[in-house]
Amino acid sequence: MEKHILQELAGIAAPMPVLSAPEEMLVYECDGHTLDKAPPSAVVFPSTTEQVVAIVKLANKYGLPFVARGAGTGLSGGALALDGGIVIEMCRMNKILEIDYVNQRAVVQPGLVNLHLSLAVADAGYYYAPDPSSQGSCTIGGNVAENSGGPHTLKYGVTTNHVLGLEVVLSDGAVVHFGGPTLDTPGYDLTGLFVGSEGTFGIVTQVTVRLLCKPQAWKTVLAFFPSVDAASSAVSGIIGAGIIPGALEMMDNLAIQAVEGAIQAGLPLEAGALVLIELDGIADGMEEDAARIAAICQQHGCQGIRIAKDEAERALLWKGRKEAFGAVGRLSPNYYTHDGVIPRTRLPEALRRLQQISATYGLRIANVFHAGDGNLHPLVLYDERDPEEVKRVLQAGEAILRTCVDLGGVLSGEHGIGLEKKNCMPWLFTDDDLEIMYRLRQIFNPQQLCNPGKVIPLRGRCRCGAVTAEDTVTPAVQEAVAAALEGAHVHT
Amino acid sequence: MSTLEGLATALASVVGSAHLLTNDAVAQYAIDGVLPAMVVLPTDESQIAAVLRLASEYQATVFPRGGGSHTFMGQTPSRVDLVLSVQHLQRQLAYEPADLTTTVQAGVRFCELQRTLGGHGQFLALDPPVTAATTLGGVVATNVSGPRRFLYGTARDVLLGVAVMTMDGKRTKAGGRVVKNVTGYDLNKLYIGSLGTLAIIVELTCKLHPLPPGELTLGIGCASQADLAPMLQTILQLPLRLNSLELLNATACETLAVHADLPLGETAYTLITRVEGTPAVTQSQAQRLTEALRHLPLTRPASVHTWSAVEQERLWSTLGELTRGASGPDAAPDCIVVKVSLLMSALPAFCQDVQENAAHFDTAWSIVAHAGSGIAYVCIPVPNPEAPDVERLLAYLQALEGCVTRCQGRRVIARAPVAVKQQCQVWGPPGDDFVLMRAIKASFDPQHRLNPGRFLGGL
Repeated sequence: MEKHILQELAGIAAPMPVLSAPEEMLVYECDGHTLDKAPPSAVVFPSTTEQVVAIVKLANKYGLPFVARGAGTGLSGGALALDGGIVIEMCRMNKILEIDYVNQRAVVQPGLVNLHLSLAVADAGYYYAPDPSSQGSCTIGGNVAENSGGPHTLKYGVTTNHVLGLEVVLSDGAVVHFGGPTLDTPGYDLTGLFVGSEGTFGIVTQVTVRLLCKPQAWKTVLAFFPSVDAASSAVSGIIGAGIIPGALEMMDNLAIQAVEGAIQAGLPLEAGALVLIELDGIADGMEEDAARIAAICQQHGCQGIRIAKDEAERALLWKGRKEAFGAVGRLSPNYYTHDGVIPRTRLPEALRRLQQISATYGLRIANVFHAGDGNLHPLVLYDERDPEEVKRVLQAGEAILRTCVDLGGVLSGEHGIGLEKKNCMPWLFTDDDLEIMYRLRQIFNPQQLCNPGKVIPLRGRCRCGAVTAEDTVTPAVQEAVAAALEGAHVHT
Repeated sequence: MSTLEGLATALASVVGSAHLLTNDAVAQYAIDGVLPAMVVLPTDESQIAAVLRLASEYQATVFPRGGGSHTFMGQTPSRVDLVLSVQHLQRQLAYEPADLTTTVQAGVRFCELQRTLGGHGQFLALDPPVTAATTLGGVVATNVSGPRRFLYGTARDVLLGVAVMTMDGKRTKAGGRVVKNVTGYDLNKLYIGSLGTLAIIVELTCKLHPLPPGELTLGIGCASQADLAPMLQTILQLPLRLNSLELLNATACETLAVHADLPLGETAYTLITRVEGTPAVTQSQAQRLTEALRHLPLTRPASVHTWSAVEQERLWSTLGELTRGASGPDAAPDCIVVKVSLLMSALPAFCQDVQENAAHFDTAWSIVAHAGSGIAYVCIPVPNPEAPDVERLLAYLQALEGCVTRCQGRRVIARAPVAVKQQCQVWGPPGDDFVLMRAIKASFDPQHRLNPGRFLGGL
């Protein structure tokens, strides 16, 4: 990057330094999706909305792409700065601006770590419900961009169900407000449209979130099954009985071995699968529901059940689940995390097909996933030093996603499309579907400077050769949109 | 042959003359009294696509319609060329109870769908005020909601996937059939509540919930203004599985008592709340609630009543009607309904302010609020609905606007006589994000033919 631009950037974000040395860029060349790498040209750390605006305007002045980045825990390459763009690192904007317990809301900056919000309101009896496994490090802003989920989303919903309003810096530096502290804002639901737009519609600088009262009681149950099939049918049985637990998670044998090796929680190494079931809510009726769940598990061949007796034991049961990804890291130098979703009733079939894929490509696959909502997380184990194996990992990944789509599912449940899966989008969406998405992005981000190259495959960049959207927007539509935006600028 | 006659001929060849209404047959499809030139009732998606292409070709305005139970929403149109009804698209395309999802065509009757799902012990967790004709497509397009939103949310919390037909006759989809999905931009949210201004919704996939094993409704009398805030706060913080928490002022309660033929107290306010669970669980929750209220230092003790199962059902269906403006869909509205969004904590002060203003005009306005969500419906009676005193009503609305502003809320005039609507911005003023909304509208409907001028800021 030219020196005078760096100086201008440094002037905006002072006293924070602007990073640009090649060795400093290594940290930012990828996020949690490590197969794709692209070093940015500079990393800047704004502390205020005004600084974000100034940085975005500067990027526009020089025609430089930019991308906002939270903690870099994303798993689809969403925070990569393609084409030598600027990384706008939001971690300095990490304050809780307002907590309103009476109305069960908080206003926070995007760089706030997810768990820090729940910790801040815990003593008052509240929490923030979306709980991605990375919640100890991922940020609320990143969660908004990716519409992140977590184990408890089965009952409580994902990020979009808990975000009420946003302050956003658009790609030209204009500041707009979506939604607000009150519900049912008239007009199009731009809050809902923005959440999950993966940083391609603008940079969020303030988030109004819903806080929930902590459940009065929990009941955490761990059940072991001889096979994934048996465990899956128990999961279907529980939901079919009209019980929606707070969480309903599954691990297969390989994952159990990894977790047990890492944390010695006393898991039976020979179990084909384990299911972690957590009831939460009011204490009334919870014992009865737990008893029904135990009976359903027994009916489906459960080999053993453990019920947490206290908070410490509950934490231990969860520790295995929350740290499972890390534990799998003990089994091989690298692993590739997938995130496909299938209808819950297709779980047994999906997992059988994953076993076939594992055999076909000669790769071990561990499964740790949200069984309740059919959100699979196959972890494909490999060694990145073996280029031949990396090739097979990519092929196996494609086969996994194809399987999900074949079974009536989708490409991603909570990790996003980003760079990683954008070329698979035509498997699910027609050119017309993608064109509408592209058009919307054009409205928010007409110069395509804001996180370019993500989510939608574009002509010329598309490895799979799909026909794509950008040239099919008719001149009439382009004119109408331009007129609307133009008129609006006069208006503001 | 005029352009519209040409369009009629072309449409008849697409849908068959039996599914194209003209002349007198269009009367029941009037929008705020404006008669459409014609009404088309396509029976499948390809017909909808063809109708839209023809409408574009003949430069006709198109007004999408479900069951017509909420066409009173929005600004009055200046001219209605073509009403496009989806009421003949009513197939349930997929239903796998174990997945707790279903996919239906947009014209599926809301009540019929609930009956089908109920047969499997499930339901779609939306409970807006509906008629037998209300369609799911209409519920989503208008984003209407009811008391259960307190626990289950609104359309944005249950809609998983959607397919729409745009003005150029192209079918596009977003979302999927699974309960968790971040594959592509979340266009579901964009179509919800867009009042048919972007595209015609043709297919919907929704997340379902198991029916609760039982429910118990409690009416709690609140005799004094000062007690309202502490009572609400207490109830909201108790560990209960509440699915509804409604607040009624005395005027609303009186109307409810008459319409539902139920004995209701005559306190300043009444809270009507509903807990769910097995009978044992609902009983113990009711006890806990009653206990907690007894221990509150109130100026006057709270009274708690319960009703029989039949009475409970009547109570809830009548209560919904109050928020829709009680008279039937065709009748001139006998009240103005204003939907106000505000912070829950502002609700008690807002109620007091509204009632004082009503008293100042020597009238009584009813308030029905989803107290846990900060949504209040204020109903202002319209004497002589056939020939309303517009100036007087506008003065009422102006006074109400003051109450909304003082509580930092927002309001939508959900229902009002046409002569009143013509002098108001029914959706209120747009915000700084209107730039984007206008561009989105232009992108979907560059010629401004879909429900033109009816939505926020003329979208």
